[in-house]
Amino acid sequence: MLNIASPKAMKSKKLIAILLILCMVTAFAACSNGGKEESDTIRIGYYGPFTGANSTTGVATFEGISIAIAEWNANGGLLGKQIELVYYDDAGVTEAAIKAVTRLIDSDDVVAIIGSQMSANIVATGDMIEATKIPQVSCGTSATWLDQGYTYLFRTVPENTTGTGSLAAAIETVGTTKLAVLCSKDEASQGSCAQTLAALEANGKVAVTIKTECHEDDTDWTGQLSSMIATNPDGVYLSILGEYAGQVIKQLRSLGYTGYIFGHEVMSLNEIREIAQEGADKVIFFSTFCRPDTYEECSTALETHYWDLHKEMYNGAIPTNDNSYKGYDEATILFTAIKNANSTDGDAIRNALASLTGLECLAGTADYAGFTDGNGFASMNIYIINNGKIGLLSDYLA
Amino acid sequence: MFLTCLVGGIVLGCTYGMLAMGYSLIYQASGYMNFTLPDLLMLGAFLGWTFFSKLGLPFAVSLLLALVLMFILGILIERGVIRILSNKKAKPILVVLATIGISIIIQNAANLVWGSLWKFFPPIFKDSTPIKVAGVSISRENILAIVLAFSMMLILQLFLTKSKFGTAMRAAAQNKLAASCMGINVNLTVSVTYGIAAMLACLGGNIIAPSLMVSTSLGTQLGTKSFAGAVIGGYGNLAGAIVGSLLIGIIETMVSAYISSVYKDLIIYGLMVLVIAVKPSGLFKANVYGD
Repeated sequence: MLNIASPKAMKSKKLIAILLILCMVTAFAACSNGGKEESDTIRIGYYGPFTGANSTTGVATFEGISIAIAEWNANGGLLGKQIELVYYDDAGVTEAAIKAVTRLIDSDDVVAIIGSQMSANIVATGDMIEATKIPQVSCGTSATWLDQGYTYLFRTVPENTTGTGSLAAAIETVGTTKLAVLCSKDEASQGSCAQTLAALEANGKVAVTIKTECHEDDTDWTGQLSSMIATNPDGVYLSILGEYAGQVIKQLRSLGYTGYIFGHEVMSLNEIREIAQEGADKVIFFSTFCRPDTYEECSTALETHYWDLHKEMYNGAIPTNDNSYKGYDEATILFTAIKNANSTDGDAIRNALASLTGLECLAGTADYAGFTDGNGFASMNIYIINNGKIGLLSDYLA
Repeated sequence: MFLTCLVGGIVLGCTYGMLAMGYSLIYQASGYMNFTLPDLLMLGAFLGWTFFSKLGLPFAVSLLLALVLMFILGILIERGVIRILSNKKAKPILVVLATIGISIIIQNAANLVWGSLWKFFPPIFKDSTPIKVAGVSISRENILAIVLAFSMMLILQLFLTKSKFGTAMRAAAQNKLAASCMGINVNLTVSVTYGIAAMLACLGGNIIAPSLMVSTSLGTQLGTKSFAGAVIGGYGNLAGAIVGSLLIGIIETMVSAYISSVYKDLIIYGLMVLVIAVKPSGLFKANVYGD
């Protein structure tokens, strides 16, 4: 059957065709802009967990980054321009991290990115970072994401292998011979746990009585902890996330365990001492730094300076936790590299980061020239919680 | 180890039980599934935390205030949303979707008011030494949780079976038209049911808050397993909700202790699917086929 359109339908079709052509012309015009517009700010991207189980770390890191930006902007900015931060919440979810980085690069036109502290999310964005040559600095401690051979990724804290080896030594030093292990199913906890246990196995002085697992969404650990205590260990190793470490320690103590507890840098979070209270005593862990409880306990001039900046910006409040330190270091390292590069070109920033050396940070002295894989720091410390205070294990044992 | 796990499972089951009872109460009274309850649990925990930790009120007063506020909120949700949809003869799926919408609003509102950081719920007891019962160490908060949960279950049971209003609620749940003809204010009984369900969720939140921390994701963590408890017990049956939840809590703890925590969710949700497939009325023969 011949289908003849009415004059009214023909008119509508013409109108739609004109609109489509207009859309195409606008799109082509936008694409053929001939490059980026000269901006009066330098845009830096950040993605991290502002919500979800890891929000404490994300919010505190953001706090440190914001302080560094305010400090640099007050001192004239970077390359004569003010620094502008574009940030997204990835809720600690890998897919959201990839979306955030895509948006930062494609839509927000950032010159460099400060990444999440979650190693799995960093490694997920690695290929995109390499392809677009937009450098990323991150504070995830897992060795995995710099083991991939990426050249535009840089770590702003020591790798956790430097800590797990020291932790294994500490486990032996305090006389533990029978170790029960609880390991979270996330990538970072699994990686660190494997490294620590490998180091212990190599020495052959400590026997693992049981290794059990937990999940991020667990709300009770009675089952796992009871089975661990039933093996009668003289040390318990918790390779778990910081958000629930306090609750696990509290429950472990309430089940009657009184011995040493070993863990990672997450044990430095002040929430752990708040939740577990005296139960947090005898917790031994590795960490780059530990935020002191009072201003008077700041150990370096830079730390005191950071506390001053923090109090000024956050109405007298002290840094939330050591993730705040990490954020400040990340931003400081990146901005110094951009300043040294004297350019916002990705390759120039990357080269400046790779050759950065002698920069005093809260984590110690950054020396990226001393590494070839994007690392910049050599070692971590071993701490112990004693009478509610965090101190070096070496001082405690002395 | 068995006794320790059993106690741990009962505490966990009690928390699930508060939500599961709420699910069942509302389903029994209105025939709708209500997905706001997990977030009402979260909101109740935040209110309890605000009164107890921020304002420094005694725990009992904080809990009471939170319960009253949540009761009012439950009634407001019923009157402001559910009843409007019900009066318009909206399909049940729309009511369910509306409760999901309210749930998201509550989560976002809590995020705006209290922020995304986890809140530490201070210890309720000054002495944190665990109490030894039959050789098992139990924390004081856990004992309080068990006592509060079982007391609430008992009070609710007495209220529903012995009080005039409770009898009216049950009558309205069984046959709204007949109850209305007998002079029972059906709208009021449904409103009160929503209020009680919100109160139960609040109690669950305040029971678990000292063991966990308070965050906007607190309800989500507990909501699905409570739902599984209600289904296994018999969706719409109060006693079933309690028993189903206790079963879930105990299975979860025992599987973690004797098999592996890796399998606990597989076993719990596998059991739920099995119950739905083989015995949809659950352990307590809830009426799931309608008239």
